[in-house]
Amino acid sequence: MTHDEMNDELSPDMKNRIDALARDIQPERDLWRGIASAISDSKIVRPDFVTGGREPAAAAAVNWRWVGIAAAAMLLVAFSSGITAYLVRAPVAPADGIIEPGLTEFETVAWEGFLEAERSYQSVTDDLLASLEAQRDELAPETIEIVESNLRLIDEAIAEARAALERDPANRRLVGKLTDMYRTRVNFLEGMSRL
Amino acid sequence: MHATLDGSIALNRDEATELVSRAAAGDASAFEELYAANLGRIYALCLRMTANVAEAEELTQEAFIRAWQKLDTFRGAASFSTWLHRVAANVVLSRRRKLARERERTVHQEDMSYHAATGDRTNRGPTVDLETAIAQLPQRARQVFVLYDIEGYKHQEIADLMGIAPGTCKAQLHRARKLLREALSHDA
Repeated sequence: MTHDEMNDELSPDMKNRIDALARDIQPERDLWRGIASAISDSKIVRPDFVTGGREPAAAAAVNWRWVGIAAAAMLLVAFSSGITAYLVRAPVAPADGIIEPGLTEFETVAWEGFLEAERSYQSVTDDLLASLEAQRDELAPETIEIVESNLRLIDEAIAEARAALERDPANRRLVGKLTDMYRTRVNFLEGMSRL
Repeated sequence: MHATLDGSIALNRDEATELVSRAAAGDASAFEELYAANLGRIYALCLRMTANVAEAEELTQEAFIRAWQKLDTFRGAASFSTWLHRVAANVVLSRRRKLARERERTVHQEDMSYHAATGDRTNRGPTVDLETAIAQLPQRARQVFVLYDIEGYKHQEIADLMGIAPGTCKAQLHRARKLLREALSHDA
């Protein structure tokens, strides 16, 4: 290829065609919900918060454990379980648990699987919360503050995703996001219970 | 701030600066306004560079999420929309590089719903044909063509974004234009 060939000019006709292309194209579906959900997750405690503004040396005694916990809280674990992969491939029924008429047997099984997984997450988090509550007197006030602050943020995110799923029950990404959040909650509580 | 013909919101520079400041401080509603004002252009970029509606939607979301995460690095030297556009181009090219390592994309795998998505919003006639022809270009040639001829990037900028030599960029542009001429002459 010659230098001239690589520096070819656009023909007037081609320029006109390009100029006539739409500069803005609106997507057919609402993309904001997924973005809003993702950016609300990022409110969860960051490592710099964990140091409490103290000098690194002063905070060092607790940083390694707390940073690990904060990282666990921020970690929206990839949707890797079998039931999750199953659900992502299948349409989802309404979040109130009512199976709409007309769903295939495969879809019904997938939705019931999700509800079962949700109950399991709830059971695990209840146990972990009970365990933490039993240790409450032994925990430092800063630790309790971190636990409660993060749980509040995670629960808000879960409530938002749940509400969004009710508005948009066929949105598989929301199912994935919601399960990620449940998983984050469990991971966070597990991290705290190991203190 | 005013509504445009396509329904998006146009912001002047002061409004955008104010919204960016609020968003950088964690105000999601300010970021949503920035999203609304820039969505059409970012989605158009993602759609044309991927020729795949589902992938373009996902990448558009990823671009805005990445922008939110990187807002504190926005210095205001460029306009926010220019900065955001660059973030989106990076997101698309990073994803495509990753996918290219996993499998070689072929023309036959293109998502035909792309044509409906672009055709519905462009003038009927030759522009629809051009959109179709762009979608059928080989991936790298398409990316260079979209960035250079449609989005107005320079060869050096594209080369930096894509991690290729400027000469390679020019060659890909030449290839893209040649293939488009051929496709459009067949169509005519």
